[in-house]
Amino acid sequence: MSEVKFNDETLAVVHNLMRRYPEGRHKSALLPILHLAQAEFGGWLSPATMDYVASILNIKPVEVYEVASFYSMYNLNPVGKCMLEVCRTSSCWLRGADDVIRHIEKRLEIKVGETTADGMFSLKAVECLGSCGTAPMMQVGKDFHENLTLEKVDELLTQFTNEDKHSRYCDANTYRKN
Amino acid sequence: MGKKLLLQNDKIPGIDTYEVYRQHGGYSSVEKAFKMTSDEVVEEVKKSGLRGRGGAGFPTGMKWSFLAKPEGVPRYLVCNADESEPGTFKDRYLMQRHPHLLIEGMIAASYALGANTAYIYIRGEYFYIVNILEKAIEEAYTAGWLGDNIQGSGYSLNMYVHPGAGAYICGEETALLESLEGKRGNPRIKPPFPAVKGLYACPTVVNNVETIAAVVPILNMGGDEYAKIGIGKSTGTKLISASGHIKKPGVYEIELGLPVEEFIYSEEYCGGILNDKKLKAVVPGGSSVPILPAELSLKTPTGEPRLMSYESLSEVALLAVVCWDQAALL
Ligand SMILES: Cc1cc2nc3c(=O)[nH]c(=O)nc-3n(C[C@H](O)[C@H](O)[C@H](O)COP(=O)(O)O)c2cc1C
Ligand code: FES
Repeated sequence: MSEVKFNDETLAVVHNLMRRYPEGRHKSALLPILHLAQAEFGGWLSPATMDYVASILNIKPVEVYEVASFYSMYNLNPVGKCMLEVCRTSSCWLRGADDVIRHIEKRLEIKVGETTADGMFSLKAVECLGSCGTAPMMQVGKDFHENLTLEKVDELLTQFTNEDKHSRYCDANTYRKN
Repeated sequence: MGKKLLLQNDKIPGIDTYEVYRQHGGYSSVEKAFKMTSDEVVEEVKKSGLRGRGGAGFPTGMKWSFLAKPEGVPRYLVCNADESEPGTFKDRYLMQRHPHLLIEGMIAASYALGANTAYIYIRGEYFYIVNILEKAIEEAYTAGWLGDNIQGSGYSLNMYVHPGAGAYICGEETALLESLEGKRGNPRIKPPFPAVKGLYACPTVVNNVETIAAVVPILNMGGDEYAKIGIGKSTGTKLISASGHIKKPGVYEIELGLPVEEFIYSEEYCGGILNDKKLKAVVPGGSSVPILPAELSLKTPTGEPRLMSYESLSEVALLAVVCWDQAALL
């Protein structure tokens, strides 16, 4: 396992983020930094990654674990390259979210909460993502895929497999530079 | 056509960019605010009768006037963009298409409160909107609407976007503040209220995205004029997220007091029930509130038409309407 260290570009962003909060309050940057860490270090937060983030913020590792385990967007275990997050709340359910989930389960031969054997996909069922007017929907990284049909789901899965990329919520370019 | 005060420029291409936004009168409310004292701005918002658009419907001007102002202690404005109430997507719509409207409202509000730092706490799932807001904020800095001595007014403001990370409870304002401090989003015991001890134990106002955006038309037209729109103590216009079994799901701006029936069936709004089936029930505000059967959603128990106002519906109902058709419950 290679050493856990942000690349220079991300590190510059991390230091900028810390400056967004008043003197002595840089712990505020924990959530955005954990997002960057998850994106850069394999899509999940390993203990080594969390220790590294603690060292950057000069706080105790346990403070990071405590926070990371509270929020659902942080993965504390390895996940597939591509995380499929399907909403199953009211409006999506009314518009066929269950069919979407069943279809993905069948095609990928996994259940909700599992990862494919090749490590390509993880499937997660989530609560309302604010896409109810364009239901059903799934989030993959920061992208919202809306008005889903089973054909559209198939096309997306093929596309993700071909691209073979990690899904990410954010990267160093998400934030303004100054 | 109902009156539009927030989405009147919705169809204009490029309205999300600074150039186009400014050409259409953007940032004029800030120019107006700078000609007034901060207390006069608060007074204008009081006169407007504006009530919080985040669910609880608390009068915004009153909330602002409660802000403690101890000498030498910074004050904060925090925008609640957590939008986690199921069925709600109006704030997403507003931020994605009209980022400068939010930024403009944030500047005017911060000036009124005497805050020199403002944060937009946005749910982490909306990361693509973080990109949009960061870009718009950058444009606002470049054009001199943020930073030191804004437009030569002597007033300075820095504005930052802060993503959450998936936790429904962080929509509650004290949990949100905990989260913004880099902690677990556990709600605080009130009192003290954020107006006295909020972010970093400093006086803080937390307002919803739409509440802050509404400050722009209020200052532009004047609080008294704004108060003439709507019905009774439900003044102004309101964004409603409409979804479920309707012909035209989406975000609609309505004048408060519109009958629910008109909202669901008229062509201007939801366009009726999908496949012309019978309306079975309405879930006002998503899944955390009781379901209203069709009869009770269109009429009150005494048989009066039900109106879209704070008085006639539960408050959260003014966030979202989810319609179910006959078949859905079988
Ligand atoms: C469980 C819970 C969730 C909430 N979620 C939100 C939310 O997602 N967005 C929001 O603006 N207000 C939410 N609120 C209300 C906030 O606590 C607060 O009243 C609001 O941000 C104040 O803004 P306003 O006066 O402009 O409406 C929530 C409240 C509770 C109790
Ligand atoms: S119910 Fe699925 S996005 Fe809102």
